[in-house]
Amino acid sequence: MFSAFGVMEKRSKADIRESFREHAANIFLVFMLVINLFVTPNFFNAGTIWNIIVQTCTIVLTGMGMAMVISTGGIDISVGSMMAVSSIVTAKSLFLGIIPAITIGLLVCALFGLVTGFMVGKLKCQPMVVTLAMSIGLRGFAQVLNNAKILFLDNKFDNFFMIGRYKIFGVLPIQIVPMVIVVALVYFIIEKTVLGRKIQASGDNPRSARLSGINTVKTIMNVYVFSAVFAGLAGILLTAKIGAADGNSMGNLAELDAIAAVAVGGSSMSGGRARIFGTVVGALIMQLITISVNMNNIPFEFAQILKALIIIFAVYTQRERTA
Amino acid sequence: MSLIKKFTNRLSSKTTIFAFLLLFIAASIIFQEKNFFSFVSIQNILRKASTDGGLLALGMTFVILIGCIDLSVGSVLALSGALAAMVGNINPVLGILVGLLTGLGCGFLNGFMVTKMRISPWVATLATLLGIRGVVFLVTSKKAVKITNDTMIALANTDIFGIKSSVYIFIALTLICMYVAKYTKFGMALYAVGGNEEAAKMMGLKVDRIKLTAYMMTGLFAGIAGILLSSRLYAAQAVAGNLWETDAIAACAIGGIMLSGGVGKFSGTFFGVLIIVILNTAFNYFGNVSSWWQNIIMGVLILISIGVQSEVFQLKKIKLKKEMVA
Repeated sequence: MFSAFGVMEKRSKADIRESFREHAANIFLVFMLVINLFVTPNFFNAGTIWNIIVQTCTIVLTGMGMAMVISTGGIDISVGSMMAVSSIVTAKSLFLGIIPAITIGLLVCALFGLVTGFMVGKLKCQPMVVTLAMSIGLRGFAQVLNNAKILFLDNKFDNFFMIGRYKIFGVLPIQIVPMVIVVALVYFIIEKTVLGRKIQASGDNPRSARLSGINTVKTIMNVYVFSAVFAGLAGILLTAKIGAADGNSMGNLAELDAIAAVAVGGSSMSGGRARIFGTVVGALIMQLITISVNMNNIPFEFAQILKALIIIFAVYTQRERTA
Repeated sequence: MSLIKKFTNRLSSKTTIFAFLLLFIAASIIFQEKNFFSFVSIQNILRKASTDGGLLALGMTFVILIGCIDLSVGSVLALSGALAAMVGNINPVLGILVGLLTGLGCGFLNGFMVTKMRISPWVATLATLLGIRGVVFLVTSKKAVKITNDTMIALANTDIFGIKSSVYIFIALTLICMYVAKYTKFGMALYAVGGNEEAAKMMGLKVDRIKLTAYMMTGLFAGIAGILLSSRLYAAQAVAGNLWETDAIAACAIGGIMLSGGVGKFSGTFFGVLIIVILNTAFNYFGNVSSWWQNIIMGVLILISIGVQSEVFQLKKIKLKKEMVA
């Protein structure tokens, strides 16, 4: 009786720990919100919340692609440069009209994503090096397209700016629409479709996935195209919001934010398990850190140290328990 | 003939050396009027390689060999450079010591997070990349630290037989790394852990300790790089080494170090660094206009170099060999 009780107690303790790990990201997000409520002046008003949504958009979009890539066991460092490429390409082709310009921008990104996917999937090169090379090369491509100058958009493209500045019902920022669509789409793909199963199977054990008849090459190519297109979309939205395309600095270090969002959200970094909503929560946490640091006038250097500590803490509390 | 063959075999990474020679000859021909093939320019290339990220790439090779990554090397370089400059102005020996210890300490921190806390190397070193840069800004208050001590300046700027001392340090460290990788227990353990961690564990290797040591080596090299860089520039900049981790990883990739771990040689990294520096120099000669193309060519070059090393081509080679035997 006594020993049985002891076992039960142990198990329930492990259960609690397990469920804490499951929800650590959510708990952390609530914790951040509560702290901000008390510490940050003017935190809880509409303006701040809309701001958070507008600014998280980039991290969420790139994070979605990154979550898919990471769940295949890869990584995509080229998302930042991909944003710059789509930004410049779209801005350059705006004279064709808005829809064609966006299509061209996304198509160019998809093409580069296809190249990455081909090298990773077919040639079996390491994803890290391939995307590293892509990120260097694409940054150069974006710079060459406009001679490394910032491309300011004319006011005659007013309608294009609306993509980044329009407010639904006068309050809700437009960024929420692509965010919701992309998150829903990725969630649907990962959880409900065959492709999603294939993606996670290829990440979990590529060899057994291949042996059980999954075309891993095609799956991996798909994933990198998705990642590139989402990054391109993020770049276009950002361009529309700022009203200028900057090949030099747009999307600099965006890949690191995206990776951190995925990791903080509780996805396994070695692949096989993608947590889509976790990634959204991770993106919100990353953005909340930035915003609360800015609104409290904490000096930049402290902010960086704080950000580092929070990332480490968040990832440490929900790491995979390995024997 | 066989001697040369033995020598190149020992160096291995023949494709990298071949690419390096090709580039060098091409550059010498193209920039004939600008005296590319001269003692001064070769010495400049070596000097650039030694202080601008060459040592980072050498250090990075350690962690890549065990199948990990260290993104924080640029920030570690800046921190150890700044601390070494500050202390070194009072006492040069102490300054160098502080710089080296800073590097070791940062490496230990990274290694601890990866091995003991089991955080993925990407996330852990990404966090230290941000955090250590923050510490650098705090320490230097975002200003450059001037070096006034003569010994500290002499560290990288002394002429020995017409070649700067930093070049000797770079070459000596490369040779030491090659020796360590080939003839010591630690070096072999690196390859064992990188090749198959589970198998290494089963063979009784202390995997965690080896990983920790590899990270500390990376940190140490970043520390040395920081000291040399600030010594060469007569000052330690707060933004020194920003984004240099990319170049370091690229040099390893070009040098034939497999980023999945377990394959590659330090001589490969050495020539990978030289290739990158020659490319940079060549683009400087071309003038400002085409410098944006540099990134594109660099990217394409890395893609080609890893494409050639990829499994598909390797398989073809093996098949060819088998056919020849048959």
